[in-house]
Amino acid sequence: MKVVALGCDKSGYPALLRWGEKELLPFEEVEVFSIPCLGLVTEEMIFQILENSDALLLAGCPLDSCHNQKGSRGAYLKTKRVNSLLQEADISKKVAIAFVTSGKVGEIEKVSEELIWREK
Amino acid sequence: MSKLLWLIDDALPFPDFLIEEMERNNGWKIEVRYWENKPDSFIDYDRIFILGNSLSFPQERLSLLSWEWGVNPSRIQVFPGEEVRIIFPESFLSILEKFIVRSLSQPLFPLEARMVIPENRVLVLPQASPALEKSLKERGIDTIIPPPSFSLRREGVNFYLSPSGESVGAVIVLPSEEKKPPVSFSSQIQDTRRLVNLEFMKKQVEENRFTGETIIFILPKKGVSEEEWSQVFHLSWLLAQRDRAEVFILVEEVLVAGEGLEKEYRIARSSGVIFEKADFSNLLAQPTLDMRGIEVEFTTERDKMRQRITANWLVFLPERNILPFDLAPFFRGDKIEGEILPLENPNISPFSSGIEGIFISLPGEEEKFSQVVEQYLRKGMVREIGRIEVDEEKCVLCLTCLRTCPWGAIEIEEQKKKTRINWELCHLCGLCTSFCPAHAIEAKGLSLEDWISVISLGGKR
Amino acid sequence: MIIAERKPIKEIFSFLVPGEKVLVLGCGTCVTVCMSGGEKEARELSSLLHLKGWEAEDSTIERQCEPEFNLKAKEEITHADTIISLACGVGVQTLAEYFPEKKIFPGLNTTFMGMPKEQGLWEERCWGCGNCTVHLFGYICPVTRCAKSLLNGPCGGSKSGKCEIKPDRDCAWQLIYDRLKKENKLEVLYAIQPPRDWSTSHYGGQRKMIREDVRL
Repeated sequence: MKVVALGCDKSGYPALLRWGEKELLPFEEVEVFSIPCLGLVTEEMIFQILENSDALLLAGCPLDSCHNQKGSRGAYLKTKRVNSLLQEADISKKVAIAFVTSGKVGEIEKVSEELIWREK
Repeated sequence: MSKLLWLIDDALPFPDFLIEEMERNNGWKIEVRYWENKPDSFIDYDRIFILGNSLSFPQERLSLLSWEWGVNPSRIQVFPGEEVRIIFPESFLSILEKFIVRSLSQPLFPLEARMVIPENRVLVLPQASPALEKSLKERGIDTIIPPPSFSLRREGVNFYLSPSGESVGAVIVLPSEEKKPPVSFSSQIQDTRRLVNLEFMKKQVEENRFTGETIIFILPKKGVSEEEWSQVFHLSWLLAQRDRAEVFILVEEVLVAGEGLEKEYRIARSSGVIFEKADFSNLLAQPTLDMRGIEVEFTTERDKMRQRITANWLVFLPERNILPFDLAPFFRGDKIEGEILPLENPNISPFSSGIEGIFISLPGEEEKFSQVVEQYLRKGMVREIGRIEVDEEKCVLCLTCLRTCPWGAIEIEEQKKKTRINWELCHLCGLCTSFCPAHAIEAKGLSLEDWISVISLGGKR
Repeated sequence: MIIAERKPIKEIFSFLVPGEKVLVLGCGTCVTVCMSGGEKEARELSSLLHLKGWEAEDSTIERQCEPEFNLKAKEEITHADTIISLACGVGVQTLAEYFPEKKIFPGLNTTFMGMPKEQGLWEERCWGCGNCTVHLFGYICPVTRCAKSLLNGPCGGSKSGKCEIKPDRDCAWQLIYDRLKKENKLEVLYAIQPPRDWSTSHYGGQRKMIREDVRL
């Protein structure tokens, strides 16, 4: 399973890297990217990424402590919308969003397990 | 030949021969420097790659560095060297090389980082309290008196008052408060005259003894000051110790993080005062049959057991809610700035309303508040010009960006029917770009096409 | 503006034949502003079609309800086998009128004329009945906003300010009363509105507007 992971540089990206350090990667291939804030994520961006991968994992600040107030919320709404579109279209790819603080990777592990489970 | 600077912010040394090989293969000139040993001038380098820890270099820090160094922000890239060394120890240099090749293939955008410092003057709405005015004055911040009729408009980071023409760096809002009991008590309970406030109890304790009686304190989650907590701890200790009364303190949360509070809390506890965390939403209170007491029923958080206590006295502290302040009558901005409330977000400065430069002052916290405002006015912030831009050809003036921007950084030029980003307020969150239905707003160097090819790191393991 | 909603993805798929070239054509006016058929949504749908294996492209033109703008996109339109139009019903018809040889399908359901109440919430405000009298009702159109279009309201089904037909909607007549009361103009409601001539509305058949003075 090929996964693209996108994290905001305030908390998601550091957490994704920390997750990589732990050698617990449950996927065959992961690519990690950083963006300033998850607010930048658009639906088309998600679709374009999914063309070349099986799943997209977004990691950002928790909803109520996003450094840009509503960045994580924007991304959260978009993942929900994209997932419902994918479901409607019977496409088995998925987007997941993990709300993390930079030091903690537990949430990412949980969400990535969910991705794998959905894949099965 | 591209001249590159590697600025290393971690301690591990670099194998020189590999760098030479990389220079030969790609035709680069690489200069390796450690952070402590930064060059004096950064202008000559085509790209500056910071090799460090991902957590230490968020976008704000990069903006700040590009301002300090006087270079175009899009020349600076961060490579999470520390982490990549751990995750991919063998292929570290090849990943770095790939990273640099991709980065060099990107165009440089005409960006500039600039320091923005608001004017050292504030407007207080509706009117400054003496305590606030004093505390602001001590810090050298002028408050201007709001004219009888005026409207506010944004100008860069400042606010502009018309018709007087004055401008201020920040607007401070004093919201009003609403006090209400933490639990709604029926009128029958009021009739027992056993439902009292803290002031009343304080007086009573001075004059009377409560030997053998049961007293319940009910304290809300919001709006109890440290002083009030301290008074509650002291009173309950006195009642338990001196009068051998049974004292219960029902709370949703206990605050002990104040100066000396923890000690008082311990003293109260050791004297036999019982602290109980409970959910107030299912707390029931009713008068006893003889109307000389109040029966309180609640579920403890500890073991989810339903408890019933008959109290001779029920002491409550009111819950203080801050009422939203309506900015609309004052603001003649592009966005209808309606009612504002303090943000409860640990990552954003306290007292912030969310809109840059508008702060909400809370009574009793004037000192801390003026400190925050002083910092905002003096320290300034580094913002980037040209990073986010609106394509006027594509823009359909749907106002989505105006309504989405959390910081109030979008302006509509009414005369020319144009959308403009107020770069002095923009935090580069990109919400406007991702919500724009016409694809008219571009975040230069931050959009999918730009960054996906630059900061890829990872692969098989 | 005209508000429209995206059709269910399954319905859109059912229009298409596997393997054909699809053009998703967005419209840059009303449906862009109500976030259902602009460039963003056009790209989104074409990406989704891509994922599903179609050869899909997207384009957005200024206003699909104008022949000139449609003809500008002639090249892209003729290149495609099927066109999914993300415009309102007017746009789709205009497009089909000028490209009769093409398979064209609507990607949206045109729902109403309304306003954005807040970000992400649109409400109906006008029916286009052809005889505007909102000034008689505190600027709240009972024809549109009352489920029964009562001109002498309210009916007996107004319950704590809500409509009996759709309990999550406000009763228009409650709003009218509240607004007039606030403005001290309740006497306006003493006037009994006579039965109305509905022939100006769509009950009188398709409508036309002719302005001889601008027909050069």
